[in-house]
Amino acid sequence: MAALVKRNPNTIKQGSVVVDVVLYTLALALCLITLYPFYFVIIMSISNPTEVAAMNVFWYPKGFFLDSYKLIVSDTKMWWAYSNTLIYVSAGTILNCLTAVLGAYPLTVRNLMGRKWVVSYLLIPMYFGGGLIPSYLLVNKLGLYDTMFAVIIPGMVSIWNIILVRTFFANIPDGLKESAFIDGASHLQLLFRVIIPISKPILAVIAIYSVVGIWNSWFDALVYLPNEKLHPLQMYLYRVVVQQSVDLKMLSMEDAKNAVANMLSNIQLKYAIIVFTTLPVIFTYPFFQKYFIKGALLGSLKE
Amino acid sequence: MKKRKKPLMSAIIAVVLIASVTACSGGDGKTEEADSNAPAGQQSAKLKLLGPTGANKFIKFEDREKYPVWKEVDKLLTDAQLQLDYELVPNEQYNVVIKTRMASGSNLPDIVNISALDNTTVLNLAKQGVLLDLNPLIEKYSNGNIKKMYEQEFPYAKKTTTTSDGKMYWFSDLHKKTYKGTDPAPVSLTMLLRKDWLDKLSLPVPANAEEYLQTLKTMRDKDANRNGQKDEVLVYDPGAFSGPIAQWFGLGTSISSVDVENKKVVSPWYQDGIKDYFSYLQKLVKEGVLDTSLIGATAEQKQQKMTENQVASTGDYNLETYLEPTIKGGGEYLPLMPLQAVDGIAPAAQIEPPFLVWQKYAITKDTKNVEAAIKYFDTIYSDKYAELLYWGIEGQTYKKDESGANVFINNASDEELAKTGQVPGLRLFGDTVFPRVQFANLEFELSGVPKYKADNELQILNYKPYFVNMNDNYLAIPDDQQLEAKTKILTNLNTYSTELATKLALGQKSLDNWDQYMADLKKLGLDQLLEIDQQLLDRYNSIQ
Repeated sequence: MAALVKRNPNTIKQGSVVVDVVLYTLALALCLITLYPFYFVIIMSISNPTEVAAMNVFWYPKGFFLDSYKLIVSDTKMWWAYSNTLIYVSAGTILNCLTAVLGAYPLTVRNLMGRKWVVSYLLIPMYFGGGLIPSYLLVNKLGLYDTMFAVIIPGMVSIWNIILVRTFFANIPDGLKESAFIDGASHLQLLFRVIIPISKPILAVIAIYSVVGIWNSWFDALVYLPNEKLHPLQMYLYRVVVQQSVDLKMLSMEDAKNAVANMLSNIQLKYAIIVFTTLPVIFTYPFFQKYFIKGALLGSLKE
Repeated sequence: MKKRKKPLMSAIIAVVLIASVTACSGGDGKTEEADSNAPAGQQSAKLKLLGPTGANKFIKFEDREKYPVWKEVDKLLTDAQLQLDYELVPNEQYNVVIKTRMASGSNLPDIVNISALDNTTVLNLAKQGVLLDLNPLIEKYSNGNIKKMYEQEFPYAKKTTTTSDGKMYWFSDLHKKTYKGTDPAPVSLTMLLRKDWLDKLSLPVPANAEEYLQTLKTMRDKDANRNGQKDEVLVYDPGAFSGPIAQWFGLGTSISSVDVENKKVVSPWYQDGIKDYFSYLQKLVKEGVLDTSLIGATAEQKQQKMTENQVASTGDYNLETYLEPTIKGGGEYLPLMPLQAVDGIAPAAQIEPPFLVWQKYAITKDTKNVEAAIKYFDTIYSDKYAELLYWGIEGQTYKKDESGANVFINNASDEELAKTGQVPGLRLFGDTVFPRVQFANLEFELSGVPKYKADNELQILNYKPYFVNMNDNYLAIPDDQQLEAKTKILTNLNTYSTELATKLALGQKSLDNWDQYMADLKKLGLDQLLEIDQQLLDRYNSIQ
């Protein structure tokens, strides 16, 4: 009987070693492709500057040179930037969570008048902005220009976060809310005593999005913070890595001389700075990974 | 346990918010007010200045009080009864900040460095009244210093800063380099060839373009850098005409170039040597000596090749001394004189004009005390300031050599100079809100280079024919229509020209279709561009 059942020769057997090997190889290759750039930056940051300038470093560090790190650690501007970033990240994250919760809750209340309109209205600024100059004028007229608030306040409300939280709140069983009301709870009590305690996963997601987003942001600082003592870490990085590359052809002889000297010392320095500024976020990443996945799933469903 | 968390959390939130508020309120430390040490009884005029910080990592404007040169400059400003309030924005950020600030027209200082803005934007701002016309102000308030500099020392400065309607909206950095007191001293941009490799392989210095090609081939074939590979190359970008090889064929340095001596605007595309030039580049490519992977590369990428000790030849300043220390294992670059390439065409040199005018410093509409603003520029355009800016303090940063020419004393690294404080003003506050006024000399430069570089420079001093690397220095400011037409033409024309030149050099396009290329260039507005630039050159020459 068994002989009569014709086996499809293309069928993959479960637990096939060949498939495992192929899949593992693929996964390994993907891992390498993803991790190599970072490994490359690390080995460049500790190799001899001449080898770095000659781009001779590929698989392992050539020479050993930690002076770039010494220079960074002794640079007070970097520490200023680090502490500023901590302030921006912590204040920004807390305010983002707060505004997301306060913005989302009313939008889940069924008998709120014009709820649908409000939701549609909220979507507009998600896709259309005022533009740079109007935003600048607004920030300037509000007296925020060149203060830390210029970075914190405009970024404290995220429509995307409100929608995420609203989606989460909407999935909380109505029975829970009704029983709270029957027990005499007000909306505020319901929000802070019942809903928020069971909404930790979504708050964690918002918090992580905010932390990563604020940690990596520099553009607002570029426009609104001419005082370098207020610059966040990424702005410091931007200044060193991106903006210090120059077109030597455009310079007179004396300026070209200084520019070449600057360029050489910067080639290695920028690798060291990248390592130094990215490490904290990289180290926190594994701990919050599961929330990222949750966040992605939540974002997939928008009602 | 759970209950404890709440007060803890609230405390953390409170601390963070308070910390951010406190930190925010401390954020107005951007402006650094000058010491008000004006003599008692005299009222100092306050001015707000906005500009970028310098790029030096060690010598910083914020540490200025410890530099002797600053004390001298500060004295000049105090004597002029000026109290300055500096807003210096990191130079990497300045472009964005100034563009946003000027576009919004709000929060403007009294004096502003607007070098980051292009001519179109600046002229628009002038038209809107954001920038003041300086001529009547100079007439009314100046003590004569500005006029003296602009009319006697740097007469060409007015030519490049006067608009078509006779107005002047910005002051500039002024530079001149002389030799033996008064002779103009241009330096050249030339092809550099590895001198140590010539010596190692016992090769003569090439005397014409063909010999140059053969020398490059020999360096490569004989493995001049001894790394076992034939990787000695020429780094040259054929896309633009600013590489000095183009001038060997008598070509201008840009699509529209100024022939200073003949007072004519020319385009390499119309010049006699153009086809020979591309044939020659094709030979360099075919022989494999021109590194095609570096065409259009960044300065850093070219620097990698240099550090790897693979660059046999490249174009740079004849008196440069900054490339050699970057070569792994060391090396020497010999600057070549322009080489004969085609019979009947005299090879031209490419020079940096001995007189330069660049950067823009303007007075804005928000200035309350225009007289003080002019007084500031009177201080800047004084002989004393010029000396402090470029040379510093005699006996500390410079001295007189036996011929009486100024030479710098310190040749230490920036880090050491920052410690001793012995720097000229340029290093400390140049390119910020303080315009440069530079009386440079060739004597000092010659004293710091090997004899073979100095010899080349002395030959270049009076060499003709020549083209200049900064053509705009010889063109007057275009009017609205000219500017609009030029901007419109240049975008497409530059792209087409660069692409065409590169493809012709690489042999990807044939020289046989020349008429077609010329028709395309004309269609993109080449003739119109030359016509406009000729008008600008004529106006430049007519401004007295």
